[in-house]
Amino acid sequence: MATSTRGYALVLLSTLTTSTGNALLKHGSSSLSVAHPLNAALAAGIALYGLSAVLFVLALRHGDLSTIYPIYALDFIWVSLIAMRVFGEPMPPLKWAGILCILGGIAAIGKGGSMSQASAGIAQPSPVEDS
Amino acid sequence: MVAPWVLGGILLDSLLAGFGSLLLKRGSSSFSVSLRGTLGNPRLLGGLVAYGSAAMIYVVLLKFEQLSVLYPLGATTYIWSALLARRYLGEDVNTWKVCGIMAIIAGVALVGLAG
Repeated sequence: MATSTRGYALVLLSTLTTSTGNALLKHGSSSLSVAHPLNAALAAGIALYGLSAVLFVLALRHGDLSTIYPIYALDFIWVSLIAMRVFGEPMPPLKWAGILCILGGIAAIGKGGSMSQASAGIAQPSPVEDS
Repeated sequence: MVAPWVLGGILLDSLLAGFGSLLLKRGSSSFSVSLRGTLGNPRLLGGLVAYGSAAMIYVVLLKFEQLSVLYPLGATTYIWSALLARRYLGEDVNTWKVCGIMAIIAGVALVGLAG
C-alpha cells in the first residue's frame, strides 16, 4: 500500500483539528471550576479531539502507517504557533529551530512516502489506488 | 538525571502508543463513522484503548519529570511505530523515512528544551 493525496490531506486536517481543540481546551480550562465543570470552549475542544481521531483513522486507511504517523508531528508546530499568536507565549529561537527541524523531517517523510509508492508500483503490476 | 523508573516508564509508554498506532492502522480498513463501526471493530477499539492509556500514563509521568526530558523520549514512538509497520504491515521504511523520523525527534527535543 502507498499513501494517497487523500491520506496526506486527512492527516493535515487531523493535526489542524486537534491543535484547535487543544487551544479551546486551554481557553476553557481558565474558567473551569467545580460549580461549572463544563463550558462551551471545553465541550468544543473535546468534540474537536474526537473529530481529529476520526480524521486520523481515515488518513491511516489511505496511507502507510510509517508515512502518516510521523506527519502527525505537524501538531507540535500548530500548537507552538497558536501558543505564540493566541496566548502570547514566548517563542525563543530554540523553539523556531525545533519547528524547522520538524518541518524538514516531515518533508523527508513525504519524500520517503512517495518513494514507497513508486517501489510499490513496481512490485505490484496493477495496484488499485484508492484515491 | 532521569530516574530509571521514569526512563523505563516513558519508553514502555511510547511502545504502547506505537502498538496503538499499529492497531488503529489495522482497524482503519473496516472503519465506519458510527457507534457500531467503532465498537464492532476490535482492532480499532484496541488501538483507541492503547492510545488513550498511553496518553494518561504520559500525563502521570509529567508529574515526575520535566517536559524537556519527556518530549524527546515520548517522540521515540515514531521509531517503534515505523519498526512495527515494517515488521507487521510489510511497509517500506526507507532511508528518507528514517532520516525524517530522526529530524522530527531532534526537532521535538529542541521544542521541549525551549520550554
